[in-house]
Amino acid sequence: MSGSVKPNEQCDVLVIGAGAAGGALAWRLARGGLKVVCLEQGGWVDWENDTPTTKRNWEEIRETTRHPNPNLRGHAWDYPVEDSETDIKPMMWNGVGGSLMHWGAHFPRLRPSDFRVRSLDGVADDWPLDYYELAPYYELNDAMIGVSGLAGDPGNPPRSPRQTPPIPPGRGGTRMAKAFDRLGWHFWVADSALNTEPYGGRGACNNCGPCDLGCPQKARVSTDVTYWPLAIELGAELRTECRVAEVTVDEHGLATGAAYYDPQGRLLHQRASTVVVCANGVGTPRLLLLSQSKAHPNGLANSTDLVGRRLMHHPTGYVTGIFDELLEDWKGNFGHSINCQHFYETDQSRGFVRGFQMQLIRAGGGPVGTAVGQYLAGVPWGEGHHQLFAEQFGRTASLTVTSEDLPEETNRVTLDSKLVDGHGIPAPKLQYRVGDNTRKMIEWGILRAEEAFKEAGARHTVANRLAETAGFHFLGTTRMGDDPADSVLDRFGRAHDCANLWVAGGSVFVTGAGLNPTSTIMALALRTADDILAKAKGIEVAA
Amino acid sequence: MSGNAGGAVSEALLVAVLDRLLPPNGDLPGAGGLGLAAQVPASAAQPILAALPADFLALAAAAQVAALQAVEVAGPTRFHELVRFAYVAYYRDSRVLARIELATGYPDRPPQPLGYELEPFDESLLDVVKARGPQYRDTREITS
Repeated sequence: MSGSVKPNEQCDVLVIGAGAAGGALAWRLARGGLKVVCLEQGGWVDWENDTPTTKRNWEEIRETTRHPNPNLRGHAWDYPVEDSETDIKPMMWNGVGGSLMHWGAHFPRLRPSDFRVRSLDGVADDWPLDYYELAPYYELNDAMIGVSGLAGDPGNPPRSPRQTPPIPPGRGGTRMAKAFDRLGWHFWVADSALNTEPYGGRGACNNCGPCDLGCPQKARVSTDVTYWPLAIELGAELRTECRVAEVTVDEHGLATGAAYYDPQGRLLHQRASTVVVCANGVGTPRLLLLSQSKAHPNGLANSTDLVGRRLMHHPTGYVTGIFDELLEDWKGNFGHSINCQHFYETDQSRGFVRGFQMQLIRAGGGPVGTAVGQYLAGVPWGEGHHQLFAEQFGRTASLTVTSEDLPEETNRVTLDSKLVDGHGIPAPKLQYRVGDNTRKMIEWGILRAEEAFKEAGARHTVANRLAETAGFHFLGTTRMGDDPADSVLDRFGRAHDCANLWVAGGSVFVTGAGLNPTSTIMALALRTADDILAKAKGIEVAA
Repeated sequence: MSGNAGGAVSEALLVAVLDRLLPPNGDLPGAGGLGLAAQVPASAAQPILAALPADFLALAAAAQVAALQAVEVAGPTRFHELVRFAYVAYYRDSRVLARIELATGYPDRPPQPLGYELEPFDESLLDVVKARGPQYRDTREITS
């Protein structure tokens, strides 16, 4: 194990951000023998002693101090996000583990067609790699963290047996599975990044439900309980509550490290031979745009003006079915159970290109969530309140219409001219509007979801045509590509404009796909690490 | 005309408002009768109480509802803030949760550490789907 690196000592690789990508990448690099330092603007969460779901007011905590929107949470670790010009609001966590700290652990892989949308469907761009090139890294990552599920899904290429058995679908999932069968629609039990049996030194899921609030058993995956302990054991140094202000460069434009504020507010500099920015699809372009220099006057790696552009989300509609049967929807992972990809591939007769998944989610939450409103609107006050509450509580299931967003250069992350974070650093601004193709897709998908609930026997359904709160996945803002004229990064995540700068995370995506991105983010990060390791001896580095 | 502006939060008035928002349910008193007024921050209650007519307490139930609806229409954001605090207090109350547990089996305890039984997955659920062939487009012949 190597000793800690002082700020004025050079490390081999400086990783900025300790989330899904940063954790996986740091472990891989440390395992390869490189001296790794990671700067993370937030801190650790103590799951054993500070998991909200052990408290009676867990639903209040979900809406306040652990709210996924940093603007509402307002933690000292957070930076504000200017969101007055976006249809979808930002949801993220800033701390060790990144946004995995409040995710639902749905863990699908992209499908092969997702990497070839230009060739197959004539839209957007193909990726510079394909599914089969990435598949070994999906497998490696699954084995490292543990995935519950069942191999054999005919909707996806074959994969190795899952590390632990599938999560049970519950009463609602079983009803909907049978309805899908009667309709002739494909579905499969979801791959889930949580242990249904002990795995990797972590405990097993006890079906409690609100995975977004963390897990005292550490059954639900986040990199603070998977990759980071291993990386630190291998000598990686993780410095928390250290906010990076700028990636620094030399006169030739090569990265020299980063300037950052330590927990005492002192501005320090960490020197590095290689820098990897892993700060998600908002934080990464923000940092690159902040890093202006003579060599990079438009921001680091931004000669194309593409840094921050092509922002993609997963615009999501929801349909909630209310059943007469008590479904006990408070039991089990809230975010997924079974997953329908029947409408995932393009069918031009539908009036849009590409497609969507429908995740069956357990929509109810607890009594406060039902009353205040989550996937359903809140229960109205007054005389009818108690009857309506009784008709809804424990009796709902929801299907998402998780759409594939097409990249548009007008959807972007920029630096706000007024808003700043706690260190006075300009905040990011989101400018984002849902496109016509996406809106048509969601509307068509809502009809299918309503059809499925009708088949399943729901008494009635309620549709939310666009969830403003579905800003969990920020994709595409530093896209990969083989042509330096129309991409920021090469096929491994290395900046075209800066030979010792890499990026990992959702920002590298070329297109958004219609599936949750985390398994792909982590697999790509491992692949990027291997590229860095391969080049480590020959790379041109700053003096 | 409002007669409650500028005064201290009247507990009796807030109790009455809470009972209109969350009325009695069978033999369970409304949110006001359950004594939940103290759990509603004055900052959330005061603007609503101040906007109510001076004779609100003397009004019949239907007229009280109408008065509250008028305040809601005039300022939905602040009104819904009060409603939210009322709901949070009500649905955390052990008497209310005991009623819910009796009706649904939802236990009056946090989700952790006990959780719920993790039933084994019944793979027969997938028999129909398994019988189908591949449902994805293979792209191995396509180069970018």
